Amino acid sequence: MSSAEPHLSPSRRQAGSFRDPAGYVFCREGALFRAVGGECREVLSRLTEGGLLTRLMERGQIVPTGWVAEESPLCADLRRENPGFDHFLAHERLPRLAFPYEWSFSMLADAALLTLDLQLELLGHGVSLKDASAYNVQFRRGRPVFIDLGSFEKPRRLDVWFALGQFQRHFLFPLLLARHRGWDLPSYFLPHLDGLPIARVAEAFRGLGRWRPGLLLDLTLPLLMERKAARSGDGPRWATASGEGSGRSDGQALNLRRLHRKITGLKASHRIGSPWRDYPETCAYSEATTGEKKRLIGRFLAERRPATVLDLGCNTGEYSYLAAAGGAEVIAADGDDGAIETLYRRLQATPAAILPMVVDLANPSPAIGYMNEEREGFLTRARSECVFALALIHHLLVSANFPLPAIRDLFAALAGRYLVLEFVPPEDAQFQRLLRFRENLFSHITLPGCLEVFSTRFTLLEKQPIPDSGRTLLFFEKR
Amino acid sequence: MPLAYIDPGAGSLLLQMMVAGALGAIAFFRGSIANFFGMFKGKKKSGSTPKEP
Repeated sequence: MSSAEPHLSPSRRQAGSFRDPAGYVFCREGALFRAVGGECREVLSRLTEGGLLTRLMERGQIVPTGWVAEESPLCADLRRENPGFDHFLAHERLPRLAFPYEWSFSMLADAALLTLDLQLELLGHGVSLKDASAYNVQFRRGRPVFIDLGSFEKPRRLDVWFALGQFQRHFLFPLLLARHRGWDLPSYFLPHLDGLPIARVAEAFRGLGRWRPGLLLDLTLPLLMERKAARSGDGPRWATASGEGSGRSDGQALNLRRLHRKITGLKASHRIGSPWRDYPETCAYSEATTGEKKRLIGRFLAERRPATVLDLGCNTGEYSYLAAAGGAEVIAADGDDGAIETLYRRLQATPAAILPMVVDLANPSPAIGYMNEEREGFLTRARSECVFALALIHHLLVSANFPLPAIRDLFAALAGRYLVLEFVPPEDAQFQRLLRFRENLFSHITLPGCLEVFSTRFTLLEKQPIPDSGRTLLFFEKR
Repeated sequence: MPLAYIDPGAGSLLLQMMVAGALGAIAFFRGSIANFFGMFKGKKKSGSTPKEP
């Protein structure tokens, strides 16, 4: 963050884009650009001419991107506003962003596989990824997409991948810890922006377990080498990082393919263990009731046509699909990673404009990183024109111990304009199920009481009882 | 090591270099190895060549 000018000019540098000195991403009048230095430009131009970039875009592997024409007035403006840079890429803006601590297991695995696929493909053209950060991948319509084209470089050596260590810290280690040691991704990623160092990961695999074949090449041997290097100071004499190496890439390709097989295996062996997975089948609603609820929400979507929807407590995404079918860009958030994993797998079979995210509403992902600005927090990132809170309010009341006004303020912070709230009375079977072993502090919660609390921030547009359920759908507009 | 702007992870980088070095050595000596084994195979093959027109 050396340059102060972008804050005064229309070019606003993205807070998360400052580590790589060779370029950065900035926002200008709603559009997204990347300033690229000379070397990176050469690499990207060569890949553009060879047709590789177009192929990667057509396959959806990298974000749609084009060069800002050299002679255009726009390019002249960008050069003036971004001193030191002459070449600029225009990126398509992704509608919604989720970070690794909000992904499910398969999402992280797929982001890893995409990174390996890209590295393998680039390697064939003598190009390499200079970093392998999980933050270089985003998701669109249930598919991972690589966003950091500034990461393409012509490496000094083709026989080793300098970003392999980061690949392990950002992908392989959290997958191994989740698969074998029951870690969850927020515990891994939130407190450690660049992942855990290898020595910390090794602590989770002690004794003989560390010598299992699956860990040998990625954990045990690198750890031994690292310790040896630390003891000897300069490291072994044969490790000539500045040399040209053998100039052959087949050794690296072999290793990349090994990692690809390994992560594919981890993904295939991941089991969903979640009480909510079968919820749509086992919940209290009859088919007719669900049909009516869907009809009411579908009608509201058709009338109001929100461009963005945030489905809170989305479960496996029934209503997210409904909103996406109505043309909205949807964030589907749930605290249960099994539900999000199920939804993500469903998106593989039936793609839709839905971004699944694991988020605990009682403790949503904070803003993290440099100046706490590098990665935006959930509340600002997920703000949407319309918020769905369907069959959710009893969970917030009971499980999170939120009083009604707190729930109202949370929804008001997330909703740009509309709120669709399903009121669940305390007599409801699902509400009672949550109250097992709990003191009933909720007998005062009634529909009129709820409407009164919400009336300070929202105007009621429509109130529709859901037949045979005792529940009510409330359609609000923000005041 | 000045070649990566991120922390490359010393251990995995060293391991890669070791493997790369080993593969490089095999590639370098492949010619000689092939020649060595070729000495045995070569005699049989050379015997068959004169038959071709």
